[in-house]
Amino acid sequence: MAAIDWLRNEVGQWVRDGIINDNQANSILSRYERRGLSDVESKGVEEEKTSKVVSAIAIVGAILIGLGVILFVGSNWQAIPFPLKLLLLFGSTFASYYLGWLFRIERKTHPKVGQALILLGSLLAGATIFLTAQIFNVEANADILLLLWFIAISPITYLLESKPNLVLSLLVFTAWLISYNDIEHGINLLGYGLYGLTLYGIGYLHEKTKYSSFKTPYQSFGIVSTMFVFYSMILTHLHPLRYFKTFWIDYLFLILAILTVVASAIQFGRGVGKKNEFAWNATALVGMISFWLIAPTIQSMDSSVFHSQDTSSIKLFLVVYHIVFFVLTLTTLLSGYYQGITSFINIGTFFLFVQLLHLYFSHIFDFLPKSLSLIITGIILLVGGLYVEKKRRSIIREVRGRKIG
Amino acid sequence: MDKKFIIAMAIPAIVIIGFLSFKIFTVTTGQDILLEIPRPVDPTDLFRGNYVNLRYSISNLNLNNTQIDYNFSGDEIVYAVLSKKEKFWTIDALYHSRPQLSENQVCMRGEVTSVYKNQIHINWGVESFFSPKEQAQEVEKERWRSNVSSIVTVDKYCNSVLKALLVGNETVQMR
Repeated sequence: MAAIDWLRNEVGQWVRDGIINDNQANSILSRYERRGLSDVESKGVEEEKTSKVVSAIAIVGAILIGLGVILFVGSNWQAIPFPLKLLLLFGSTFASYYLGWLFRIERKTHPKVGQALILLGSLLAGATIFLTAQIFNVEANADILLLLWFIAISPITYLLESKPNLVLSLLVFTAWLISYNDIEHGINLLGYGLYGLTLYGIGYLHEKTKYSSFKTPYQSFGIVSTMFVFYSMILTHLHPLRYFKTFWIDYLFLILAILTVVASAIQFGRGVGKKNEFAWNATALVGMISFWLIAPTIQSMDSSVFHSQDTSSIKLFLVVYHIVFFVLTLTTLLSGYYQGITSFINIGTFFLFVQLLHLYFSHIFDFLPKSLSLIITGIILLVGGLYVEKKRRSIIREVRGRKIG
Repeated sequence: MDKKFIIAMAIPAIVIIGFLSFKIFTVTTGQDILLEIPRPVDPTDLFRGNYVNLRYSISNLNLNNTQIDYNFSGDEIVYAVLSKKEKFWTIDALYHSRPQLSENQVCMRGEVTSVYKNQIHINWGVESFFSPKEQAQEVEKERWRSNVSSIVTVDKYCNSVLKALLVGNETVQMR
């Protein structure tokens, strides 16, 4: 379908849905019919590429400055008295936010640089909190500092409409969650898996709001968290389940994960992409609950029996979880493909490659002579990597083409 | 200026200033106490550089020799009543809620990290002393002589802030 036909169909639908009136529809169509949409498309693609490069460079710059400041503070910068250090950090945090707001929102002259400066402000806010903690010798592993950082920066995401700030907030919150759950008290991988599903659900809440662009980062982060938990369980032969004990936060995430699956089920009829999305959510939830259910069996096993890995029930569980992981990878890819979400395709491709490598190393590598194993591994990595990358690019190109067409 | 921007700036400002004020309140209104440190060591914090990790005499207690209101379990908040003995302040009793204090007593709030048989291990939140690498190593050397103690300020709400280390007779301060 030509691009202009697609636009005509869409505009017709907008009129029928009452989003725009007939006059506005005519103005939109005449604007693009006059200029020629293919011209606009190619220009748009070029502009998008340039703008992505600018955005990436600016964000890398902001991260480097932020990390530099954090490490500078970390190395006990003795020459300057603490009140002055604090003033400098506090001042630079808000100066960075102000310039970011000026460039991105107020004047709109350099929105990408503005975006990076807002991110820098949030990194500096974290450095200020850590410096304050250092002045008062607040305990080194105090998770409260990460929570304070998250509380300070997360509203900025919405108030200044910043996607990089959202990603930073999610990273800080996840770090807090890991720190709060604490390894001594039984690090709770299941909690993180359900947390991933919760993030997926939070993504849905953004769908029909002016923050709809935040949906994909939330859901991508959610997919990575949940898939990471599944893969860790497979990789460690379900070892974390031996120390698993429930925590109040698990029940909270379980309820939110169930709500996510319900929200996903409601959208089931909206195309193949949504069907795959539901399949991913439902499989992930059932998988997580099954971990919960088999934990007592794993814990009741004698240590030598569990570690021998000859136990037939462990082998059976691992085979089932390999299949579940493969289903999750496949539905991530299909969901991304049919909905045109490139980050899902990237995540799905990554985990597919990881699983294939895992299967190779755990089932084939040891049965071949060492030198041959290494050569074959090298060939698989090179050729497989090239093939997967080629396939990934062709899928993304197709998805982008479909979006424009 | 945009109202949204003002709100966006107010939130991190309130968090940072609030955190700072909370600590300043303890330091300015609290009472200094001296705590014994049998074994300091010096690890590194990724974000905040070198610090001396402190283990106090009051970090591990024998519950047979300590008065408690009722049994403790891991992750619970604990309040300790301390009084000055010969040189150091030591614990008189442990409670689950903020206790009433007499004139010569102070209280500290901590978190139970583990309870095993009669032993209770408590984290008081004053276990890290940030210092330059060389200074941290100096303090670590002194640990073999059991010559290290710390000056902690505690306020009336049982909050505490580690102010300085005492290595021999020398005060080591961060600021």
